Amino acid sequence: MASLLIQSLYAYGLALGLRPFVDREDVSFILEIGSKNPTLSRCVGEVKKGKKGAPPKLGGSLLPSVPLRSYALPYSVDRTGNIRPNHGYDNLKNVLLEEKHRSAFWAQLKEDLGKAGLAEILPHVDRCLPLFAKLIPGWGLDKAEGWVVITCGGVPIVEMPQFRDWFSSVYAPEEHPAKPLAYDYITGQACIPVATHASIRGLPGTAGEASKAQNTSLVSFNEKVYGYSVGGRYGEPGKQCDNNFSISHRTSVLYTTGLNDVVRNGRACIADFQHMLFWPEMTTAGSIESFPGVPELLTTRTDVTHPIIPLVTKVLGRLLTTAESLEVWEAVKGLNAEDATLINVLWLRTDKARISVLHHSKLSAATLRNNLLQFQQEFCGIPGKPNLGFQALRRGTFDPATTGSLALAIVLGTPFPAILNPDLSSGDKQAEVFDRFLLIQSIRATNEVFPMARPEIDITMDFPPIEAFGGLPTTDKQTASQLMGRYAAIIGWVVEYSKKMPHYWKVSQGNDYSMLLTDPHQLLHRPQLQIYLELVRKRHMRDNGRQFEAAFIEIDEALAMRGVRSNQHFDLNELKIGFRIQSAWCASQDQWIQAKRKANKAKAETSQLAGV
Amino acid sequence: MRSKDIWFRVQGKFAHFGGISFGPERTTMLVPSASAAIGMCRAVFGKAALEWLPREVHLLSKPERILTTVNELKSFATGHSVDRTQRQRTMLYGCDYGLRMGYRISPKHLRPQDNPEKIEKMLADRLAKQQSYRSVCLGVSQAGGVIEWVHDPSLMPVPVDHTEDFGWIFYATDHHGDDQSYLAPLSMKAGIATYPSWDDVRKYGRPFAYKQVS
Repeated sequence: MASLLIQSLYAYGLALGLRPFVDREDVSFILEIGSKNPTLSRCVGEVKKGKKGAPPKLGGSLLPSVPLRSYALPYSVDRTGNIRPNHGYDNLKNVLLEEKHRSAFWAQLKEDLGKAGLAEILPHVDRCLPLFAKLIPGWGLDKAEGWVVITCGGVPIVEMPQFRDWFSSVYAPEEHPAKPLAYDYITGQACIPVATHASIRGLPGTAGEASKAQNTSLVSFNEKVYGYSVGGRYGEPGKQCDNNFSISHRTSVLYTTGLNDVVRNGRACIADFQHMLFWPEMTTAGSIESFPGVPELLTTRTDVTHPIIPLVTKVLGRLLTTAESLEVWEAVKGLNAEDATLINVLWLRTDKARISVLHHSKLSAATLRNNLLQFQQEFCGIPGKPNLGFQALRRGTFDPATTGSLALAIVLGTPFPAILNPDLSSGDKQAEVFDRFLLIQSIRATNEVFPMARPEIDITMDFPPIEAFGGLPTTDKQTASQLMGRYAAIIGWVVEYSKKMPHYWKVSQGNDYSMLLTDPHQLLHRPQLQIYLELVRKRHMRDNGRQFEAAFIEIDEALAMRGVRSNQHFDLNELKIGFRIQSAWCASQDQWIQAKRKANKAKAETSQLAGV
Repeated sequence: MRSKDIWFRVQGKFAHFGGISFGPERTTMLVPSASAAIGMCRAVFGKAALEWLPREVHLLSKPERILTTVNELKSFATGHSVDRTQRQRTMLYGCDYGLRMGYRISPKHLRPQDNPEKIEKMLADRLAKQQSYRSVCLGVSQAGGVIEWVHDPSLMPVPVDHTEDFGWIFYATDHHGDDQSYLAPLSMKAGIATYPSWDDVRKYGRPFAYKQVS
């Protein structure tokens, strides 16, 4: 359930505690108000990121320079529609450049200083305010951007103990509104739902859309598309965005605190714009205490760290050297094999303005350990690659679209997804790794045990001996025409066999069958994998050769939708044959159409070849 | 008004038990909500006067989660084909649940030609013949399944060992009360999740509504 994700993050954030200040953030300007005239200094150095991740624009070249500094700034306020000033710092536009925002910022700062018990700074503020209009044109701030921190006597206000104590006390306090509008979905308490949830930091997105991805959201509202309003119906126009997933401000702050920590400490970037996040399941104390029927809290973990999390993020997210790889696998083997701690697994995609949640589940640390070791054993021992890590597996082998599903299958220990196209076009192509992948894919598929007690239709059958398709036992002296006839017979067998399997279509009768197109489990039972295994065995018996070329065949309407692909290559000089069949995962209608076009084209070419 | 517990076993290859969503992706709960459990039982026998009371659900096998793509309407208001879109939906794969359900007959919804004895007899006949009024759906219409009455609960398989707090989740819509949807907490211990009773939910549950609350 969707809210289970937010609840897990909320519990994790609750265990971490509120974090009113960001760790360290680079600032671009320092405004000193303690002197007779306010002075603005420009911080010079290698700025990693400016506002919203973009590098700061040039400006302020007439200003004195100071070395780059970073401060633990208070978390910025949520700004939608009306610009609200930050506490103690803000961007250059709000602090100095735009008069409307400038007056709001300084009024807010005076209010904050009064509440924080720093009234001695107020006269400095009052003295400086009238001077800004005269001084700013001489500072040469055209097109300048960046954070401005206010200092008094050389001490930044945001680092003064009184200011920090005050901000910590007012940051996301407990709420008891007089007129609540809804119940918090996480805590069950009456609240006024927040219009926008707190932002998520540090999750990289697309380079071209950094501004969207740096401060992005997990929960957001688009009136026309995401009609999850509680008061209004699905897609009903005219509803406010704060109807969306109603939680209180404190809850939103806590779950994003948890998510921000997970992004920093438990994230593996598995492919471009795809991230897998891990964190331990924490106690949900306080969330259901007000319901007398269910008082029992089952998850009681309070330690926010777990030893498997840095290991799994290393395995999935980094390109390891051999020494690092050995060290990581030794550490994984040394973990407790009976650890029942639940570990959350979250697969995100960040190539959009809003984070896409592709998967969330929980599994025990012991299961995760076993799954990692299974992956290590499956892919170890490839010549030249004795300890193949996940990133080394995917590079030059898989395209990013399928990498995420593969990582998830490794983490969960499930059958591998069917791969539409191996990404063997790059310079560092790894044909031997893809070979191993296909073999492991078949083994995982055949090892799968469907857990239902009700008897299933037996969909597996022994592949006939290859001699049953005519001709003599395989020798190196066969002619090309004999071999072609043999493989045509095999393909015919696949056609007949697939027609005998209406079982797969029973589920979809009268329903939307698009889910069948994207179900890897459906694909992994395919008979072609049985054929593949058989042919691999015979091929290795024969010559251990490896020659492949691409050629699509269209078996029938049903199988074509799953994109059965067979590769044949005839080398008349050596008379060796390589044969590979792979099933395809058509993730969308467009892919299916493209696959079908390819299949038709290849079918035509195959017919011509057969005619010759 | 009599009530006794009835055991069902529900199996299906796929299932999707959606709850409170916060985005376009459809994620799923591990076990059916009370509402989904009631819906399954209404496939066996659905009468307005018969109020199904979900007691507990047993997780008889641990399903996998698989990612699928489904066609959906963006808006029910227009219903035009141009509003169709493809969305990610996580489905459970390999589902097997044991359901313990109670029932009671609501005199308020009893039609003049019906009486409680008649309804109970119809239910007993239907159960004895393993008939269902329509095919059962595990959460969504695409996920068909099979429901059967388990006469002897001791024959049910042992639940898998799974323990998890689900927190506040969607419970059901109170069609026999104020037509209000409710949230209620749920947790699973050793593969068994006990639904809160309707009485508790009406008293302590959280209305799934956006209005001024007290």
